[in-house]
Formats: sequence, C-alpha cells, structure tokens
Amino acid sequence: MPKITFIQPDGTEQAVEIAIGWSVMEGAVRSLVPGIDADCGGACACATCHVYVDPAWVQKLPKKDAMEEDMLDFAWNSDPVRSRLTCQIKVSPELDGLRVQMPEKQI
Amino acid sequence: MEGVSADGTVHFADLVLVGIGVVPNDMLARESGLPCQDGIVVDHNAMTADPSIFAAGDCTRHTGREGVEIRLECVQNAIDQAKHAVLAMLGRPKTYSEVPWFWSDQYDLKLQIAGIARPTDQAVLRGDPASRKFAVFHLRQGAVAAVEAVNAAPEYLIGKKLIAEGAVVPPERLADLSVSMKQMS
Repeated sequence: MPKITFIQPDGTEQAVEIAIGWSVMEGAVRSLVPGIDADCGGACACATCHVYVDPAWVQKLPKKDAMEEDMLDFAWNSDPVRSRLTCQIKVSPELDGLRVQMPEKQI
Repeated sequence: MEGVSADGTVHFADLVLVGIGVVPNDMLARESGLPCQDGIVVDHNAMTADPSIFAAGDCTRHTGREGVEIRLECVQNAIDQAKHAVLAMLGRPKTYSEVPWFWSDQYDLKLQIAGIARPTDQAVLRGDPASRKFAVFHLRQGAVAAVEAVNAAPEYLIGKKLIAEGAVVPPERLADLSVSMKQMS
C-alpha cells in the first residue's frame, strides 16, 4: 500500500499507509493524523483538509480542478504552489512516498 | 410493490424511497427528566438543565446566534456544538455562536449555504442562474444574514465571513460581478 508521510508543524513525522483509491484525507482521518479536520467529509466544501505538498511532489500530483482552486483560495495561509486539499488527492501507486506538511491550523 | 397514498390512490412501483424527515432521539433525556421540546434543551454551552449533562448535535434544541431557538440537523452544528460542550466540561466555556453552514452536491451543482434565510430577508442575486454559477445573499436590516451559493465557492466562503461579522453591504455591490468577493470583505 502506498505510504504517505504527514509532517506536523513541530517536525513530528507520521507515515501512514493509505489504500489505492482512497483520498489522502480519508487515509489521514482513518489514522487520526492531527490537523486534518475535513469538516465536510470530502465534498470539497470546507477547505479544512488543507496541506502543503513537499516541493519535490507538487508536479507529480494530479492537477487541481477549478473547484479545488476556488476553495484553496480561502484555506488558511494558502500557498499558490504547494497547497492542496487532501480530499481531492486520490491515492495511486505513483504517490508512494508522498510527503505533506500540515499547516499550523485550518480555517 | 403496491402502495396506497393518503387519498386512497394506488401506485405501483419497483422501489419506494420514503423521505419522512427526522425526530430527535431524546428518549434518554426525557426519561431522565431533562427538559425536551423537539430536542434536548441545551444552553449556549451545550449544557442541559443538569450541569453535569451535555448534549450536542441534531438532537438538541438551543438558542442560535440570532437569539432564536432552533434544532439544527447539520454536520457543522454537531461538530461545533460538541467542541463547546468539551470547552465547558474543561471549565473554559465559550458561547456557541458559529454561523451554521450546509452543503449538498447535486449532479453538477455544488450547493453551499451559510446562515439561515428568512422569508422577510431581502434577497440579492449575484450572477446568472442560467450560467449554473450564482449566489443569493439574504440581507436583514442591511446586514448579510445568509448566502446560498451554487457552484460559487468564493461567494459562499466570503459570504460566511460577512455573516459572522454582521457586515452591512449595499445590495448593489453584492450584485455587481465586477466587484470580486475578496473586495467585498
């Protein structure tokens, strides 16, 4: 199963195995990764599953669609390059090793 | 399958989907003697009439941010009310006053709603419904009280912020697409 690493603001790392087809958000919530609130349960309606993707991985992820871009605009301390909503990232074998950084908070 | 409606008409169907709404599950509270009225009555700290018993979510009747009693069936209320219950239990009470919000994905339409509109509010349309991307703002004494957005996330997100602030915004400005939502806030 692909392994995705979540890095907390204090540097703590947590490597989580997430099944192919699940969203990164679903995997994080299932493994109780702190900081992924996902209030809307994955409907791209709340911007509280926001992370900063490791620069080395930004180009390797499937592109954002307009809906995610719109919502990201309003995520807390959004970065134009690195910010993604984890509910919109579907896990595939190619994402094994993905590293993402947690923001200090969600809106 | 054969179904009979209230007026005696018989309908034939392969599948019947019955949407009859919800009643709050307040049996435990009622049997314990806690005041209930279409929901377990709680205060703005999610506390029932008994200071050692809290309730949160779809089952509670509470006074909302507008001073009106309400029972809210939505994820936001369940999550936020629970947070306030915990704060109160920890001795750090914080009045529950978050703006309620809702969403629904219907085919290609993303519906996002913040606040609760009233028939007496002034409805202000932003955008063209025919484009399947628009929002309706509801003003109450000039202040934004609710927003209903269809495929219009900025209108919903900024609208929610305006509602929380009780922001007074001229209706012509809300309706003006040449003014971005970011400029509105």
